Amino acid sequence: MRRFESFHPVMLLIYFLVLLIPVMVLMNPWMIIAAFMTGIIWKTMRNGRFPLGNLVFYIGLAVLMVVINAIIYTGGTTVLFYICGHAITWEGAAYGLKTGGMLASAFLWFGLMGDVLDSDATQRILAGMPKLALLITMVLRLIPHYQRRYKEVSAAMGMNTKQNERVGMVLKSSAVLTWALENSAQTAEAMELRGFNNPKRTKLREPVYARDVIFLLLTLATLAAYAFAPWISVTALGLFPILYHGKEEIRWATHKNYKKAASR
Amino acid sequence: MKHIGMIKKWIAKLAWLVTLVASLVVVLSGCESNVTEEENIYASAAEALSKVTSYELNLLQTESPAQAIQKLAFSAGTSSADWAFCYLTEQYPELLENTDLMKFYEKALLSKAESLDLNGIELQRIALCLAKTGCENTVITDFIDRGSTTPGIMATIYALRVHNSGEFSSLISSEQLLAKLLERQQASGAFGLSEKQPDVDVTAMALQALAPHYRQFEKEIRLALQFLGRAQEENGGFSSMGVSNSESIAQVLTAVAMLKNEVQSHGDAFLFEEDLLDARIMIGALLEYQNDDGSVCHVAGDGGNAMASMQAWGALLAFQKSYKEPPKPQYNLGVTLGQRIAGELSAHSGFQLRLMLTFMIVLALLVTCLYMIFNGQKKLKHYLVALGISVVLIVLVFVLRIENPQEYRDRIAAEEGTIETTIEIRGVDDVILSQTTVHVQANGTAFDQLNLALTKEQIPMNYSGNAMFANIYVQSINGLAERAYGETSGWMYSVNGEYPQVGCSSYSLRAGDVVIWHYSTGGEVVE
Repeated sequence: MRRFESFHPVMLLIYFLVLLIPVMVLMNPWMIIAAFMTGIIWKTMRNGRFPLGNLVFYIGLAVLMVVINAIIYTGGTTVLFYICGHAITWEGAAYGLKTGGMLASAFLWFGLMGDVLDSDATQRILAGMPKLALLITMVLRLIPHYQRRYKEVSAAMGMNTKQNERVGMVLKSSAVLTWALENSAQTAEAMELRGFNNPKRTKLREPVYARDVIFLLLTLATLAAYAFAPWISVTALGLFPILYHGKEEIRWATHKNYKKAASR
Repeated sequence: MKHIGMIKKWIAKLAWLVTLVASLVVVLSGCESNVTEEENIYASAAEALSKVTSYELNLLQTESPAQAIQKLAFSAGTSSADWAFCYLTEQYPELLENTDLMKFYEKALLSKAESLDLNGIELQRIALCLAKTGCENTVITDFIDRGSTTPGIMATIYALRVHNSGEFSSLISSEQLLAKLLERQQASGAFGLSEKQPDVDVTAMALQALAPHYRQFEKEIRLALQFLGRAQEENGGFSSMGVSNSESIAQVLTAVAMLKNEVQSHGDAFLFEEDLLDARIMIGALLEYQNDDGSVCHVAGDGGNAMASMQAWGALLAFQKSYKEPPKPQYNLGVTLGQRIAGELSAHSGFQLRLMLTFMIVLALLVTCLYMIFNGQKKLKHYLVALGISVVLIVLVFVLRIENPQEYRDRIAAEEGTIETTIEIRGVDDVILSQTTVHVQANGTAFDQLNLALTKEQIPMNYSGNAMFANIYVQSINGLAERAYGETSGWMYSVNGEYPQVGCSSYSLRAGDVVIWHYSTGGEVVE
């Protein structure tokens, strides 16, 4: 079964940018709704379960934006009610809802983009600049890496203490910091040993298949459709991975070898 | 069989989605109604103008305006050629810099003027054209003097228009002409070809001549505008000699647009009530006379008419010159839906509004708690934090003063006092509130007065700061917010013509003070 990630990473990057940038810049409500819907469906398909946690977060975000914007914005004319003599207007609230929806869609799709274009894909996108690619992936890796380490340290420290005694954050952070310094030295040595900066290195060239080209052409075709029906093109773009995923899913389920294996 | 289970699972997942999306769609359903009537008027006026121009150029069988003027020169001195020349140079001002072309037309005009026996109106019209071509002042002055000997109101009007287009030291001065014109104004404010006959066209043309002198003759202009307002038909059109026709609309539209242009170029706020004669409505009425080929007919349903087309051309040009499309409202989200919601809310008292907000907070708390339970959150601390935040919000809701619009108005209206003051509020190019008397309390500040006047008229306003600390800053009135017209734009106020150097909530008013609030665009020209 092919996954959506199996497309050429550059094409995938173009795809995400073509979808995300207009949604964020134009702030058309219908585009936002289309992107949000398709994003949620795809995330459900990818994870195999409904992303309830994300949804609660997004709704909370939208509510927060509505409240903040309704209080701050002063240009509206449709007064809903007065708080301490200050008019709360519909325009402020509605614009807050739009901004919140836009932010939610952007978060959702950037999350999906992060899932699809992982550190491996980053390396492949920046194949022409291996050092920059390595730097970027290493930097992006740092924070999650330290977080993981911090958890490990707290778990280890918790084992050595009594039930109600708590280990301070300073102590844990200090342990993580020491480890980080040591780790950096080790990383540098390991890189050198494995031939970093050795000019005699080969690099893998990412092959471009026909399906990658078709994918790119489809993406660009929807980009052209932005001119007259922005929300339709967003829907088409958002539906693309869903359809692809569904197609592969059906192909897998109906494959004769799979059937044979299932019946056995 | 296996697939059915999977499908069931998917349906359950999709049910979530459908509820979510349905609620989103309902909330945002009004969002697409972004285009308002007003914006359409500017676009259709611009389109009509280009159509008329191309129609007129087509008549001359040319496409370039410079060539058109060369062709017009053969019939220079006739009414149609001269007006076409005036409008072409107005529409393409770069033509005026083409001195050869201008001299060419001027020569044609002068030779025609010698060979033909011209009456006063024609002489003045030629003078008007000559003023455009950059002719010597003495020649133009000669034309004005020759034309002024003709009696009749039209000759006076045209002579005045020549005077308005430059500085000419003719025998008959602009003051004398103005006096002569205003003598003919009737008690109703109208002008007419004869004493007893008020006429829309003549009134409008007189207004065009009076426009640059609006400061001097404000009262007279107002009277004439009021006459036009009374004469206006229901669809915004006008009739002359009992027939609804396009020329009358075109003339009135030109007059209003020229007035507005003059007022704007002097940096004044528009002094004349616009709702009396709304140019945008008149444009709508005028466009009904336009045919598909761009020509304009005299009476609705007729074929194209040369004079009607020409006058409509002038009117559309004048409209475009003085009416700039306002910047699109930043937030025009589902206004109809918002108004419906506002209507619903205004039926509830402040206490009910508080209960509603409390209910919403409790609902949010419940959802959060359910989510935490669903996720297997066992620490009590998290639940307590959620509860604490909700309790704080609920306390805030009951401590802060929450009122529905009616209660707010009642409370402000109760602050009315005995000191008589006057307030006027001017927007960018309209009057939001014309001069109104407001009774403020003793020690009432300019802000109190503003608040009182606005709540009475139900005009929304927003401000930052607090009256208690006297640091109120007015951010928006009637939806016109600061910085909508550039960084330095915003609301200013003057008392008796002077700008106080203190905030409006620190300036105590005295009896008889005249406060004018106006929206300053910060000296920048609004494009």
